[in-house]
Amino acid sequence: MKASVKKGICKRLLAGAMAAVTAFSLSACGDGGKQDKEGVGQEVREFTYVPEYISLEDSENIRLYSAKLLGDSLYYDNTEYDESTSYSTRYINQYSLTEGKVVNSVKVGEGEGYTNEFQVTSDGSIYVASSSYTIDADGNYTENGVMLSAYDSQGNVLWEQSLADLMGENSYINGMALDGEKRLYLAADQNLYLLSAEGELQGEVSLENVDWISSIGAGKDGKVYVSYFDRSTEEGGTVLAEVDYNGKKLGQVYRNYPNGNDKLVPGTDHDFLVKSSDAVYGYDLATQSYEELFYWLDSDINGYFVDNMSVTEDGRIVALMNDWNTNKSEIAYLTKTKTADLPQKKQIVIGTLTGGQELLFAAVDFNKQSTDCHITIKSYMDVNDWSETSYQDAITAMNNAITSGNCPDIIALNSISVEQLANKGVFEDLTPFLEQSSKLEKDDYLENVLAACTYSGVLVGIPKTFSLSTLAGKTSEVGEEPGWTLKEMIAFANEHPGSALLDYADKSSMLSACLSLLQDSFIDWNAGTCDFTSEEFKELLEFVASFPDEFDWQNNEISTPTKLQTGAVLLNSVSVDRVRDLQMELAMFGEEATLIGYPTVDGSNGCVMQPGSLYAISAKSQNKEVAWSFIEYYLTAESNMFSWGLPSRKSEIEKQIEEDSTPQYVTDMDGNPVLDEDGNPIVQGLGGMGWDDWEYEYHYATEEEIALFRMLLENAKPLVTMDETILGFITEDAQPYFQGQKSVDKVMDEIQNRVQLYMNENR
Amino acid sequence: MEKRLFKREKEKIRKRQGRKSKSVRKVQVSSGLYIAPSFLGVLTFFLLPFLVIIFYSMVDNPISMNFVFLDNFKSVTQNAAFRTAVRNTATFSFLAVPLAVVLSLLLAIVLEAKLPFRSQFRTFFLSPMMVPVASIVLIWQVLFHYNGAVNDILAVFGQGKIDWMKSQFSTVVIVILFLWKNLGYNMILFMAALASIPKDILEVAKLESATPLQTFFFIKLRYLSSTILFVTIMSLINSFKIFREIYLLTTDYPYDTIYMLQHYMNNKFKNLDYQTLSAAAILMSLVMIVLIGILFLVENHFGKDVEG
Repeated sequence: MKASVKKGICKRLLAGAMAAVTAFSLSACGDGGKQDKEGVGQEVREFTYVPEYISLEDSENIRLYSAKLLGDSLYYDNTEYDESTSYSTRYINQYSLTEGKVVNSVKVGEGEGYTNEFQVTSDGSIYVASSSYTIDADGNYTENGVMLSAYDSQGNVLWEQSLADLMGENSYINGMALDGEKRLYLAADQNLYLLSAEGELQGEVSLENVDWISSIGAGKDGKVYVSYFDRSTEEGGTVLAEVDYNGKKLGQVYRNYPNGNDKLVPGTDHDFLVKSSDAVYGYDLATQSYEELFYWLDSDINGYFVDNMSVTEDGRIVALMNDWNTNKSEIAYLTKTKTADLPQKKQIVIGTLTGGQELLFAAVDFNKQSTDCHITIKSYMDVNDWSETSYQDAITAMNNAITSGNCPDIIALNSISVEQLANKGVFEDLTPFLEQSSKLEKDDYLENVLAACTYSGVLVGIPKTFSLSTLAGKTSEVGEEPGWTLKEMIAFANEHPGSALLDYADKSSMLSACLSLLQDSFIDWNAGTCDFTSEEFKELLEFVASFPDEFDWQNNEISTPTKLQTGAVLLNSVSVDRVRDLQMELAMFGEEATLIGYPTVDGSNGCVMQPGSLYAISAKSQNKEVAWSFIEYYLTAESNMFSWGLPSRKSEIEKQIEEDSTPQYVTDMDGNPVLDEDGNPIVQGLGGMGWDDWEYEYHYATEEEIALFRMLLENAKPLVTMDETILGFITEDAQPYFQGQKSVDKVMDEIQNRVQLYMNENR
Repeated sequence: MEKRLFKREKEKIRKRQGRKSKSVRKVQVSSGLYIAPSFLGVLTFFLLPFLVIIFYSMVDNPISMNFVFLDNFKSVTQNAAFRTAVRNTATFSFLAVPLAVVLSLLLAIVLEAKLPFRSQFRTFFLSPMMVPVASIVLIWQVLFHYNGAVNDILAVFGQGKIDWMKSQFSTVVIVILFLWKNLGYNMILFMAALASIPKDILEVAKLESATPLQTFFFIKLRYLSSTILFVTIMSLINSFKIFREIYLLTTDYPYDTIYMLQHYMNNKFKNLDYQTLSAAAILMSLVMIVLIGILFLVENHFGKDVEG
């Protein structure tokens, strides 16, 4: 073949290879096994971990947090208290899951004391670290240090070692592990103690740049590892480190360890399993990476209730759970199953920035009682991302999901720009759903609460709770009538030089507080104009400049009530979650007080309300009816999760007022009222609050207090604060004035320039 | 016989042509296959997104996607912030680009002469290109901050402080920054173009008693026309990129005299306002097409009789 022809063929082959490489590099990657089903924003995982529950008898006495599961047996520590002798005895119990009862009980201590940690070996030997203390006749409490003991399965003491000299008397063991040779490893704060199988100290390792050792445990390779938060590097993060017993030091450090449980659980397919309240991860030492295995919610389990976790030899994951509310304990064996093999349910996705307990509790309960649909929660915040931009990245990811075709069915509205999204028609109007609901009554909701959740005529969410806040001052100083303008408040403050307007106030907080509810004084969105060159704004800046840059927390020994009574502080910021909150907030002044409110434009009552958690239905959702059924469930279910704030429904508020105003009486075991020496039933106390120099006891609400509370409810205005961006401009540009570098007129011009530009851009 | 011969000849020619057109077709097909990946890339990352932008510019928002035709263009052109951005961008470009071209040409001519330390001067002007943007911004902040070095120098001369970045002077600061960053690169391009002017024509001009100015305007400038066009286009493109430095100096909302088109578009993107963003981008690209078209026409006119 001619050389030129050969050369031409080679050139073509080379060009073809390069073209192929270019083409392959343009091809997209797969999505890692997730399958998208019908509808918008729905994610269905390939595998689901299906739970099989085992209830535990007498579970109120089982402390699952420190329990160990070995084969068919559950070992846990238990303390029995004899009331007649006031003596307690500590045991390690062996509970048979097959027989459903305690089959063995080893006594490991008696007298005043508690078990720190224990470990059990496959032959039934038990190693216990326990602390004891003494209380003398005068009631003085003295710690006696840690005692380390070993027992055989029959309860015979193999050996005992006091660690008081080694660790001090006030120490506490927060972790214990055994390696393949039964050598002991004890973790106490930042220290590791290495002991032989006979309990003799062999060495000590002190970890630097570590607050405490989070967990210690043996891996499936028989070596012992510790996890801790590493402060030695800038990025920080939780790490895993191998313990070199022979070298008496830490060995290799493994990074990128996910945040989660404080127990090291060896896995089967992975080196370790890590549980968080949301999910379970598998971590591999070789690659120093983790993989998300499953979400607890997908298995209809509340991750907050999972105290402990283990893995069986056949690869099933065991969750040891304790329900805080019922105090019931149970065990779930989770088997990895193909989702396609399970009965199919309609998937509803809730998108949230950070998740939260209340949402998870509601979702788990809803899933358990629903037969045809299943809630999953997509949290856009990566809890294992410690970077400074993680929060902003989460907001960006959520916005991208909303504007792309991947919008979740339900959107949690906390911490996102609701008005911006509402103006784009992202949310479905809930008014028709509310009006047609058989479980909720629209009229049962406070009008101003619903108004606070309405944007351009669209009811985007219905809050379960809301908060009320206002300002209070002495009636002798602020008068009896509530409401004032900013000018009046500044004049009031200027009349009392030497007194702080609010406790804990500094420039930043005063600027935000003064600008709350005052947006209309300076900004007219309808006309698209702003006026930050007015005398009023100048007065405001000059007033704020009189406050300290930062509150002096070091010299803050006097309580707020004392400051209010002496006049060192003029106003009190009042938050109201129920009627009785008003009592203490007003009583702090030591004399009659008025709920004067935040300054407003027209001098009207400045009590503000802010809705609690809101959940909106996406306008693009294919499952709006089902999404509404979850919201309805959330709003009506008796939640065992404590919610802050006042209930949004009038009927619930009336119940609360009834509770706060109707005296309860002390009763005996038969339910009969206990009488005092005069033969009157004894009123049950409501407790109180206190500081070092002042305390207050609540009483049942009076008619006047109830009337005041109702007045606040009726007059509360939605908290429409100044646009965050504009507030940022004002705060940033005012700094040079506060620092004395620029004149007030100059900074006013700068603020005016930037705010006007921003308003022009967003009209 | 002749007829048959002619016919046979014709067939032979046709066959040869057919073979030729077959081989030409083969080359065309294989060439097409080889450039297909690049073409796909351009289609995927440039053409299709542009079509998507056109679509977005004609809907009310990316969620409900109701067709509104030219309403977005109307609202953009009527928006005061957009008009401010256009005015500032045009002012900056018409100020900075000619300065960049003229000054870099002058520098190239000066450095073309046999001066001592010529290469050191060249290095000096090229070094801003190597400095990362964040470092440049840091330097500028140190210089032009309200409490920066320039105000300290002014104080020595009894002048009051100037708020460089929050006053009318901000445009001057940005123009200086742009020139400092881009002169070196333009200068190198001009130096290369000057070196490629045929020496014999310059000698002839010298022999014909042409003055240096005449030589420059009637000969050198003609030969530099394509380079001037290229430098002007590059400078124009770079003038839009000044947003990066302004953003690092002043964040999303600077003083209104340095609020550029990219600020407007960047902020719209952050607010999920894709429809007005798309409309503004299309308007800007139309203006760019017209401008560059004019530049090409000018270059064609002035450079048409230039050899090579």
